Amino acid sequence: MKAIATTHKNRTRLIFVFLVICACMLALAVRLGYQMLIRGDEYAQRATRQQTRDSVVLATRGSILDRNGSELAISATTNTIWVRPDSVKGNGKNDEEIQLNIYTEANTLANLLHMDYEEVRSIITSDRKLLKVAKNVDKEDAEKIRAAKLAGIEIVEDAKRYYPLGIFASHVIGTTTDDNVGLLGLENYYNRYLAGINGREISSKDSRSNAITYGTSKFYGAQDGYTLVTTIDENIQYIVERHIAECKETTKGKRVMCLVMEPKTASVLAMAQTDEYDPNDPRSPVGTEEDKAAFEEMTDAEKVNYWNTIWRNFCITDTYEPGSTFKLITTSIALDKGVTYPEETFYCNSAITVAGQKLKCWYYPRSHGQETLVTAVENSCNPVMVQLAQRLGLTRYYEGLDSFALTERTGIDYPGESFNILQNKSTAGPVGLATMAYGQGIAVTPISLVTAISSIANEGKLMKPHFIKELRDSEGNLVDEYQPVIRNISMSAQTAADMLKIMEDVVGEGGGGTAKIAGYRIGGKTGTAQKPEGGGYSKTDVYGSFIGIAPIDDPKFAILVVVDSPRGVLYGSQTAAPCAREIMKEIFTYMGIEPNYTEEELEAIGKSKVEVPDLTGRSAENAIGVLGGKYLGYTFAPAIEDYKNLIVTDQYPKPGTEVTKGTKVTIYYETEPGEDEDSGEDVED
Amino acid sequence: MTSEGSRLLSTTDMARKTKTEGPKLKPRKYYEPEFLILALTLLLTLFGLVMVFSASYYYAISKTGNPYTFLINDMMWKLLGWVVFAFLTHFDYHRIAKYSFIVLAVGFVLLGLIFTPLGKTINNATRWLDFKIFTVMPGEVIKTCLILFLAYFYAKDPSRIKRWKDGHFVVLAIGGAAFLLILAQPNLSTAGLVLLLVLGMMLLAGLAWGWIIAMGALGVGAFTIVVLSPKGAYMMERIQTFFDPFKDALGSGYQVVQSLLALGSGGLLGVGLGQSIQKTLYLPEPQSDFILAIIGEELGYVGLIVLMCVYMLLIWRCIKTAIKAPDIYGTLLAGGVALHLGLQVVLNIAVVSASFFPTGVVLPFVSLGGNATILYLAEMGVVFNISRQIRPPEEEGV
Repeated sequence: MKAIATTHKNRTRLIFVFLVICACMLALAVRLGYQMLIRGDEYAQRATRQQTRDSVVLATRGSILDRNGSELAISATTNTIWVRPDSVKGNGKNDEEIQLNIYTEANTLANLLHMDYEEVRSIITSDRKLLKVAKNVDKEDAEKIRAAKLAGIEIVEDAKRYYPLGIFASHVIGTTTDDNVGLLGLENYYNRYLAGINGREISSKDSRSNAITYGTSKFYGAQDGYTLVTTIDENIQYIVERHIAECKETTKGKRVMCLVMEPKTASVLAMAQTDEYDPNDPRSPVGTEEDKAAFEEMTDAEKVNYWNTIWRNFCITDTYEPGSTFKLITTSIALDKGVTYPEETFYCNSAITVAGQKLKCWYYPRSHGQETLVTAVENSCNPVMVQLAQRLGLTRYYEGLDSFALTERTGIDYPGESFNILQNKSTAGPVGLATMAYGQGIAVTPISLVTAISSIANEGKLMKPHFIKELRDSEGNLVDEYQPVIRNISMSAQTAADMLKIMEDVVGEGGGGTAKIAGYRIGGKTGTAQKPEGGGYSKTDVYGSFIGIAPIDDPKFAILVVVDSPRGVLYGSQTAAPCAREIMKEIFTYMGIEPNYTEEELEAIGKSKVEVPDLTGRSAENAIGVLGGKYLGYTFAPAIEDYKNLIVTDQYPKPGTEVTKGTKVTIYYETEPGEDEDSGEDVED
Repeated sequence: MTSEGSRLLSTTDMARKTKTEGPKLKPRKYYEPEFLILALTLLLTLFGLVMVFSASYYYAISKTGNPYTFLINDMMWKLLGWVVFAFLTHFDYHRIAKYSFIVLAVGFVLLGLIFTPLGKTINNATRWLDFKIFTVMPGEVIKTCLILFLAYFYAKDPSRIKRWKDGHFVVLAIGGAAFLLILAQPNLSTAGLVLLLVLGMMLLAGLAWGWIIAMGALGVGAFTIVVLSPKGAYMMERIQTFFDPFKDALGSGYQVVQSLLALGSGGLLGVGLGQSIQKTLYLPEPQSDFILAIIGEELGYVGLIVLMCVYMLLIWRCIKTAIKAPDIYGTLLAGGVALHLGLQVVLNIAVVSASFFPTGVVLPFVSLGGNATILYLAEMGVVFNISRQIRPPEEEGV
């Protein structure tokens, strides 16, 4: 090929082409500038939105411990397995390979998760972007799945609330929602301390949401929740729960509750009621098989109602009629205000007329006759209580209730505490005052009554009841320690000492004998009150209760047992007091409190025989209580179901006879003339 | 002042040329080459290696587990390309002329093989030939083949540009055949690029302005008619939709959207070398056709402007070589290469910046281009050889 010279035309064209390219490049430089600088921020924001994932770093919910550090509620880590079905196909080049990948993955997952192959397969071949394969997978299985390196599988750690003791103290601890938010009980009340503060992680992720080591990364660590150390004693709680369940069984009551408090600090040592729900599964029905079957039949609204019923903490959110146990309050006020003294002599005339209305003693138509204040309390004599209240007058009586802080809520660290229902001071009038004096026509929360009575065991210092002992951080360092709070002075130390003596006498000599334990000095008072029903009072349902303090010389605990609607047996001395005795016995052993027998007791223990006490003229319940104190049993002749209104006329063996312990004393009786039961009269011992 | 150095160089060149001188060829005299072509091409390939690695390592880990997969591949082809470059700088470009028909034939045979079982179909388009060890894109090869052939065709008889019979007919037949074969793959963008390249070569060869103006007028006229026609508004809308990738950001517009997000993230100064997030599986195949988006994200607008200036400088040096080439064959070869380079760069940037419909156009020397890399470097080798044969001004008339 011969060389032909380049023409001027060719050169012109080259320059032209170059200029065209230059023009294009210039235009593109402008275009890039528009996209990168003018629209750049908009694109960058869009990019950031797709590139960053804002994820929550879960704070671990703090544990709830008993006073000795036993775990009542803990947070367990579980794993949730997620799948991105798009990724399951893997790098399969053709349909055959893809099918193989799906088969292998479904098979592996089904084996590791103990699931059905077909079920897993349908999940991992779903057309959704991301879905859950399994939850609550334990660490071991999750590790195996992680090790299997399956395509498109993500393992997310979740926290689950777990109550290691199962159905235990659930009305105290409460439970959480599925999202780990406190729903009931202490879980709810202390939620903001237990919950901790969730952290956040904002970081760049690739399009498959894997973390990349550069780009944006902001980590705000989670602050784990505090550990709540409660005043509950696992052992005492256990003793209480076991005995109230037994008591519910033997008395055939609707429910039984018990509260044990340390009087010097008003720390709640145990609080239980039947039936406790399962905090791990709070929505499952409680009680008998029939109850559970009935639950299945309920509508959704009825179920919600049902749950609200079984979740209620009777001791704090419900009130009940205290009956004769309230006489301790009246007596305390009267003693403290100086309107009487323990040795003062009163006269019971079987009834007392107040503002033209005849208020009968439970002993009516008999009378207690002449009695001291101490024996009046032992006898649970209504007219004496009325006299005390009358001497005090409305204003001073209410001052007394104020000093026991019964007119307001205790302020316990628990959600939903109820107010006590007292007679309105301005409308109570003389009759209202009089009936209130022996515990009628009012309703109190168990916690407020136990707190009030505990002040007797604490030289009159009324403490604020509480469940919290300490808060600790996740490393176990002490964050805050509860300091006992004195709310009020309910009475002088002298009055408190007098009251303790009176309470001890009630158990030792009076109708509280069924709570008596040889070798221990126990003070207490039983009570039986008809349940309000449709504006009047129920003929069949009562609250039988016992409130006690032990040991009298150095009070370690106050206890209240309430039996709701027992059947067959009726009185507090038959239902609540024996239950309280069994609980107290075990608490003494647990606390290492040694028995200290009196000579009389030693003699009684030494001898297998006891002297039969004189029962004539006593009420049935009183008689049963007295027999209990002497380790004697009883039978009624003729046998009777409802011995509410009967009086002992005779007995066998006769008083003074030496019999073997455990002998049943046959009680002969006569029925009381019909009482006006709707009046809500005390049916006490 | 440079006479002594030039003379020394000329003497050594003369000595070597005498040895290799073939009987059919006149002795060639080599002068000082256009070193900037060597320097800029080298700069671009090295920059390309860095960017291919930066853009690909995350994707490579995800795909193969080895972050160096694409880097090694790219390094291999670029090394081979430089070997070819080195060979061609010492291979007198005039000797290429006699292979012109063979080169064209090879180009067409490869295009034809697409329709045999050797053709590899990806996403409904058969653009690759699978030779098991490596793949070839005939659409890339034919461009180089056409430059070589057309340069020869018009240099052989420059008056062909004025005739239909043995001029326009032949060129349009060859160009049209290539266009249709590529269109059948289907690959509209490469076909269009081939058409532009052929027309560009005709322009360089001296096609009458009248034809050029007529073609331009035809294009503008057709566009005007379409827009003014009853369905014009609808057509415009369609075109706009076509150019707005956000209309279908997760479907057909996905790649361009991701490209724009990368560019936007880069802003003026970029997020820094290696710091792109869009390459972490957001922008598909970030090491090839859309590598410019990652460069924009990491090095910013400033980085892209510098890169464009480097390309312009290189293109200018090719144009300059074409202008000063010893003969019209050299002019058309160097001009064709400059044109090819310019078209590739312009179209690539146009696609990445959403100024043109999304299509696969390689960014020469920088993208992971497989064996097309060899072709680009070969073309630069030829231009470099031409530049060595340009007599410096002070030697003119010797």
